[in-house]
Amino acid sequence: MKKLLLLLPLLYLFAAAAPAQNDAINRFFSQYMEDERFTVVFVSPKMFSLVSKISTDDPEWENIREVVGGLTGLRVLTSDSLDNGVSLYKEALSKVPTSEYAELLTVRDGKENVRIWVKDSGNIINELLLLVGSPDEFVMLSLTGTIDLDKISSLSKGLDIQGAEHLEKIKKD
Amino acid sequence: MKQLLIGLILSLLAAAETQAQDYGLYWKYKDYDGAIAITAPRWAVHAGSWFLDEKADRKLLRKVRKVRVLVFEDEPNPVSDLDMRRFFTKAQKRKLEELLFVRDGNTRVSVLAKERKNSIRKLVVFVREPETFALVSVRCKIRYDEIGKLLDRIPRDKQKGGGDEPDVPLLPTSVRNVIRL
Repeated sequence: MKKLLLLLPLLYLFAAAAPAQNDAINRFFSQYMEDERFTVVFVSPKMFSLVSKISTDDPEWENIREVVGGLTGLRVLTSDSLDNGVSLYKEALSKVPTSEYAELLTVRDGKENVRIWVKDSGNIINELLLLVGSPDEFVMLSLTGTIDLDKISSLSKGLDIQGAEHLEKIKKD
Repeated sequence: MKQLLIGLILSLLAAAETQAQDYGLYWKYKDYDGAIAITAPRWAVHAGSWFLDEKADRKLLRKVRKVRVLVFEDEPNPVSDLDMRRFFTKAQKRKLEELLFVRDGNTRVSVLAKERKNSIRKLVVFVREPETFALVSVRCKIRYDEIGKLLDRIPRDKQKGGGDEPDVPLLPTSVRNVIRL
């Protein structure tokens, strides 16, 4: 009984530690959610579920439909009129729990930095995190659900959200 | 006396049903100074459908059962945050779920929908700014395959935002620059 009592707080701590890493990104979103310099976009799982039920004759739409069918959420925090985009990028970078995420892509083009991480369990990618930072621009995009990397670039056109165009970089040639 | 009581109960139920569509928000604010409040009942929507050229468009519009619009413009938005929170709590309980939220500057846009049996039953759009408030609520019964057919009829260039912008855009320019619906 005593062992069980000792084990319980340990189990609780273990369970609490897992989402805590993801909390760092949630906190970052919350920190700037009300900041008027940024634009915030939230797309709920319901939206993805509704879109995946609408079929058309357009092959491009069908491609998007296939991709969004597995998605459960999208959050975007973006701004293109900053004077400290790079420092924000560095701040966000320090919050990414690197033990949880695997770096997928790093691009440095002039003053623009782009990084993409993925979080997987086995063969399934269930989170994609995109960070963009340049002196006047900052983008943080978090996509959750079952993500197919081969097809995710098609979302960059389908979503038409500022910052989502960077998903095009994942495209495999 | 019994008939009167039954009548009273039935009329109360009917009133509750009409108010339920916007969970009291429309009814509370529709008589405020500066409010533009419009309710288009089913018959009015049907009558409006006669002016459409395409038979498919007429058919789709007839799936709309009621449209409510409440707008406050160019004056401090009187809709309190508490009432908005109440709306969202009630909406959640009645399975009216948030699809999308966008905040750009001090403009907030929310889109909510309710689905049942493979069709959209209700669509609600809010646009909130310090000096503007807009609520559009559409009660309908539109199946997903009908939405698909509608998308098929829209030319591809217009689907991608390449067509002419509508005269009265649903979303403010600041939001449309970020996300195209």
